[in-house]
Amino acid sequence: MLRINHISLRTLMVSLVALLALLAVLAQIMAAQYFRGAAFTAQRQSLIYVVEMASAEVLGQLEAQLVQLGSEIQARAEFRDALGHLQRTGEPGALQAALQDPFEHGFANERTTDLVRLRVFDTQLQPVLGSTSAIAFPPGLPAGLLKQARHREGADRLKMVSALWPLNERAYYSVLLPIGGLRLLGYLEVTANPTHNLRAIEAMTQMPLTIHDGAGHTLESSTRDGANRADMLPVEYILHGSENEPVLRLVSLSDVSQFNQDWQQTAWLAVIAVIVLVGLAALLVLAILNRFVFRPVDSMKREMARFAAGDQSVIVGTNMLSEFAVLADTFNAMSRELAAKIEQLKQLSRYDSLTHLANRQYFDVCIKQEWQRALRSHEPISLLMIDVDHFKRYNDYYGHVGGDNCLRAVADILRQVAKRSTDLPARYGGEEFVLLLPNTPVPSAIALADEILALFKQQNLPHAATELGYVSVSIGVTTCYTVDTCPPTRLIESADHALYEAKHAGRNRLAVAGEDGVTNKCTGCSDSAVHEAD
Amino acid sequence: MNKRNGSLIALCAGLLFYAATAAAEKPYAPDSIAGTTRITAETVVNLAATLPDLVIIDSRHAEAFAKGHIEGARNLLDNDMRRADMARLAPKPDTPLLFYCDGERCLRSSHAAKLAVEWGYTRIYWFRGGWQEWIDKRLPVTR
Repeated sequence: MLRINHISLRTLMVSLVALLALLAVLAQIMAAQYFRGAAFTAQRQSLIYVVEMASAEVLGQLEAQLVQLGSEIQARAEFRDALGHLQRTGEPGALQAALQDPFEHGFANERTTDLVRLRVFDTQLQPVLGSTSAIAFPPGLPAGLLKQARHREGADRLKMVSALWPLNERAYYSVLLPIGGLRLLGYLEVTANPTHNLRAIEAMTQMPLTIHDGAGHTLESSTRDGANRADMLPVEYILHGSENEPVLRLVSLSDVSQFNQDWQQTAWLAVIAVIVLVGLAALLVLAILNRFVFRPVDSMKREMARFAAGDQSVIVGTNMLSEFAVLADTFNAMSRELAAKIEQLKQLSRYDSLTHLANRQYFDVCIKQEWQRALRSHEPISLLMIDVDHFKRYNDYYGHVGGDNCLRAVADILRQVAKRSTDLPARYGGEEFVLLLPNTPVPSAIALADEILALFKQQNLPHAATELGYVSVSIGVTTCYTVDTCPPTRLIESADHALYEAKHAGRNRLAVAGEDGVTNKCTGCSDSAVHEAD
Repeated sequence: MNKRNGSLIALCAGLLFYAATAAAEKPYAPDSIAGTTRITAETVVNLAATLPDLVIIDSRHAEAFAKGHIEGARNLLDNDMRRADMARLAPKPDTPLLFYCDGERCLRSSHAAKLAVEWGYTRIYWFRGGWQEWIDKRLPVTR
């Protein structure tokens, strides 16, 4: 089974076009052969007609010779006397001798007529006498003659009849002439072998001729040149008797060497012309296929491979055949939809579903990127870690739905203070938030932290479970100046440490940690004022 | 193109002229001749058998007559036919006479028959088909 999924469209189409071209050339070769056969058939048919005409002419001439011979015999005094003698005395000897005479002493057309028998019949067509013959002829008239001669009346009985008829696979030609002129006394049958005369067809048609008898034996062979050549077209004509029975088979040979030569040249020329034309047509078809099918499909294939490799922005060109354009449009729609879905998934994977701030994972990615950037630009990078004070109590008091609302409010405040596009607020976990501040020195970071504390105070989100009465946060601030010695983990640890300090210092405040994690500033902190964090 | 058309027209005109002149050269014998009976080859045979005093006159040239003729026929070219000759062959006006020549495109027998009518013969048979009809019907030929 052909596994066409391993075959490229180009290979398939080129193979099909090549196959079609090959079939066209083969068809031309077959057509040339067929033409040759048809030409031979047509030539054979017309030559059969020629041989038929020639044999009719030869038999007509033979008939005239036999009529003349019969008239000559009747005109002889011996014949007339012998006939009169027979009529008077009933003695047949003299008539027998008269009928035998042409065979013993010759006759005028001896060279052109192979006379085999003379017979006399009475007016009722009954045999009276005949010349002797080595051939065992049947006693009565041949069927072909009898059919024409019997049942005739009046003047019709005087009309001469003739017939070609077979006997023991050989052919004979007989004429039946009235004896006694217009006073019918009887009939004279003159019989000859026509084979010798039929040889004349060869000269008439200019074609070598062989004559075969009914059993297939060769009676006359051709003596002409070329009778045994291979490039001779045999033309067979069956000579039928007067009863329409086959009597002789005449085979004429037509010289077709010139035709064969011409045909070969023509056939070769035609095949070469077809190869050239079909080749050009195939090239044209392939060029068209290349322009409108292969190239667009290749282009689509390349773009789809890029798509499969992960580039979802791939849009394929649509300037192509309508079917391919539909495919390309569909692909592009699919590609766009997939890109949108991927973007949606990216958003879902980067942002926290409750607060819509960046989540921990995305924050981890961003802090690494910002750290790398700071490393290159030698700029300070700051991080604020923010924790909601007494959030467990808030949850216990207001329930988890209230807790969620509180976290959303915290997120809103953080979004509010993150004014620059590069500032990244994120939910670090639970009630813990971070604010990443690239290119921010310590004073700016502290100012921002102060602003957050002030905003919480200003917002005055009720928190009945604390002494303050509103939601407050503690903030750990840290800033890296020598970025290469302060990796992201260190930055987070320092901020976390500062947050711890702020918590222990009583909450609702900020603490600042240096790059080494040592707290060097804590608003409202005192060494003794250390409380356990939530 | 014009030259070719011209040649074609000339050829057609030539053929028409040839056909016209050929037809003019070989006119048909009349369908019938007043005072005669037109007969066929078969009737010739029957008349020869039934009328012992029938005079058959072959109006063709002697060369044609020598090649073959109807048994018992006398050769008398129409142009050479004289009243005295006829009186010798057929002394009585009611002697049956039979005229023939080559065939329907031969005018000799019709001419001879008309002469015989003028000379007062009353039993004249005219074999219009003539020698052509005789040999076409494969009837006996005498030389």
